[in-house]
Amino acid sequence: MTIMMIMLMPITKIMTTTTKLLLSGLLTLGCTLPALAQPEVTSEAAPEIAADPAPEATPAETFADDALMEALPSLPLFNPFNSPFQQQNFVPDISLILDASAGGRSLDNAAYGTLPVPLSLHGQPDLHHAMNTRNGFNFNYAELTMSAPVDPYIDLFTTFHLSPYEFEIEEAYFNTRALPWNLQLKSGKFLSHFGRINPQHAHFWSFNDQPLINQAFFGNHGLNELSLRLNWLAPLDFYLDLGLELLQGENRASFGTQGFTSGDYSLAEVNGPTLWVATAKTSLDLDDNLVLLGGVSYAQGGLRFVADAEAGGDLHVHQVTAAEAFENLAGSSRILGLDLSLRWFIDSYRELSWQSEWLWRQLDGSHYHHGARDPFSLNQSGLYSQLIWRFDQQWRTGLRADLITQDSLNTLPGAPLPGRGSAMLEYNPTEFTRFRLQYNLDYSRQLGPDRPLLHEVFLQFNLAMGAHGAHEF
Amino acid sequence: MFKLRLMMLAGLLLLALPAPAQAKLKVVGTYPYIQDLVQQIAQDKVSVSSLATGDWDPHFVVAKPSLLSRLNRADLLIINGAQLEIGWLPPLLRQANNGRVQPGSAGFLDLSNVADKIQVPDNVSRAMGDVHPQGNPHFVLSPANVPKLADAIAQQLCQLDKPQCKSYQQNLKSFRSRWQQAQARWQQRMAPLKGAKVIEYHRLHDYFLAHYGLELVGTLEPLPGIPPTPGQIQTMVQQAKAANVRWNIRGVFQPMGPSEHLSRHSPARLLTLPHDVGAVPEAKDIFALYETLLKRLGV
Repeated sequence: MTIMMIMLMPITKIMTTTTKLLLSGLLTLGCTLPALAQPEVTSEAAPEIAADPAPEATPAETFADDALMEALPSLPLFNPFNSPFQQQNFVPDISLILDASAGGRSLDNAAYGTLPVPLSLHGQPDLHHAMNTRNGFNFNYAELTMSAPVDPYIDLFTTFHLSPYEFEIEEAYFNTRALPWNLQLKSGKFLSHFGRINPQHAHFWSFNDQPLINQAFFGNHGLNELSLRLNWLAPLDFYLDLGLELLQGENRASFGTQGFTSGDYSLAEVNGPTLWVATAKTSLDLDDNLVLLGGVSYAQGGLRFVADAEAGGDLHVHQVTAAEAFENLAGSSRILGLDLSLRWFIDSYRELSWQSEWLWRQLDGSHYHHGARDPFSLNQSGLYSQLIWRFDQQWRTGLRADLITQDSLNTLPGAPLPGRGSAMLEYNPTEFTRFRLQYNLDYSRQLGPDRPLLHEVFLQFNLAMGAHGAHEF
Repeated sequence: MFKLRLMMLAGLLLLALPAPAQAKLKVVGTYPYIQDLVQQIAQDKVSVSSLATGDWDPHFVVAKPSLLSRLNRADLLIINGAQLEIGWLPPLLRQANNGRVQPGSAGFLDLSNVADKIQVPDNVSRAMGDVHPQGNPHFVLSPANVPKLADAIAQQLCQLDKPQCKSYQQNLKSFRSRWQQAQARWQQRMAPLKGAKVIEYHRLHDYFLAHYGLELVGTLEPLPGIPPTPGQIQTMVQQAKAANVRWNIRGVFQPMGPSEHLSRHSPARLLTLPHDVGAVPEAKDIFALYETLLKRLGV
């Protein structure tokens, strides 16, 4: 009972003294809760009771005072069936995004499942977390997001990536709200701010799939690791953001920490963190409605590539077989990225935007195979460039070109370098619904001694329900 | 090496920047009417700017990175609230690296807390379109709300800048009396329009219509935020004919097509009305905004 009274204290503050008297009277006299709940006292019913306090054994009967009677309408505030401990106002923003597609490509699923991604060290593609991998229907993902301020100092964000038989923590990180000196700290598992596309969630991309070069260098998950990021927003008249990230370095497309044994050589697992990323981003308004955005990103870390599968904390069943392009590699990786975007806002509902990104990587180290150790060095680069035209509040269309510009590992000497062309048309009935039809002309996948021209058409839908936050620029 | 050099560069930049002078309070408003109200009250005692321009859709402001620079250096951020900024401001605030203007801080003011709001839904679902759980957010278009907003702004300025408080209060007093006089004139001029029927594109001018007793027959949008459909436009054409609707109102940023179609096929006259300071060139401050509204309505 004492606890009850303490609970009620804040509420009683807003009530009249007489009501307080009545309440404490009721409570200390040991009036049971059902008795309190019994009369359905509403504001309409109140005058009646006040006028005729005589008959039934209501709690009111105990107190004949008219003033106390008048105070009764406040009683429903204390409906005992409302939990005094409920915290529903503190429920975080929750949303669920569903992404699925229907379509096909000019190649059987079985054959497509064996085609390596261009520039990849892996001999076989990683279909996990990739979009539209099969002919027919594809369930790409459901993404559950939750976010809220933790306290006055920290915001917490989480994204859970769900596929039919898997639950993954895609992102779970916090960022500070009020660090001094224009600084912000972000830590946890999150998409690195390297470049333009990498920090963006898949449902914010302008095409169904990510650019070839990003897929090759960072894999289907992107550069997404346990890390710590500190950024500084320059107090200038234009936007300049400098960021430094320290990452665990487990990304298996370009980095890695695994140990391995090859013949007489035995390399122990490297302790993280082994990777760091520096970013510089700037933006200028060339005109009120014409915005230029550019960035330079650089990543440097250790390289450990182990042909044989699934060690190193990576729990996915990746489709890796003996057909790897390399057996075991150890060394270092460097990746440089340049991005440039130009967005022209014609009015509230129309926009023409051009976005390009160029990535270059150099891998140096040793190749361990058949018990031997050889020096190893690799230079690769590629770019994508996309033009998006939003011509109506609900419609967008766009073109994208993917090009591999340099590959010292060229497995098809003599053939032109790989590339891909994409076109899309998008219908967004509301901000929460998107239907996108995309065509890819894909000259990037090697099939045997050849690189066939693949055609792909997919209709993808992406729906968001619940409280989903707005996106960054 | 590169890392070290980069850190040194960052350090140098930090040192090279002058320490912030204890100068004027930097105020940022989300929309131009807020900028104008701050100017009315603070005049030259603060520096104030607006993130959005007045002639674009207030729901879909472009979150340009240049806005981050301004948010970063602001001492006070004043927002309209009632979720009008939900689609663009939160990511900017998150990236602004400025704890002074985060919600809950002394440098953050949400005007919707003091405005009287209409059309507050009992419950919301996205099936109802883009409804705002806290009610229609375009409350600056009710002349009765404007002094309340001014009060809140003056109070907040006083808290952050005590030495100038007296001046703010004087300017507020003067603003309120000028507003009261203007409001009395507007009330007279609008009186003959009482009961006139209108159709809107979006529920943008509802506060204005409700305040002066104009009757809203319907909207071209079938639901808030859903662009007009052929069926809805046809329904509005029929209703405009049947109810003898006088005006067909559209905001300056809304597509012309559906409104033109309605006016071609019904007696409802197409009228483009400003919704904010700067929406049309004449609406250069909050008084001129209302003057323009009245002039365009022919009174």
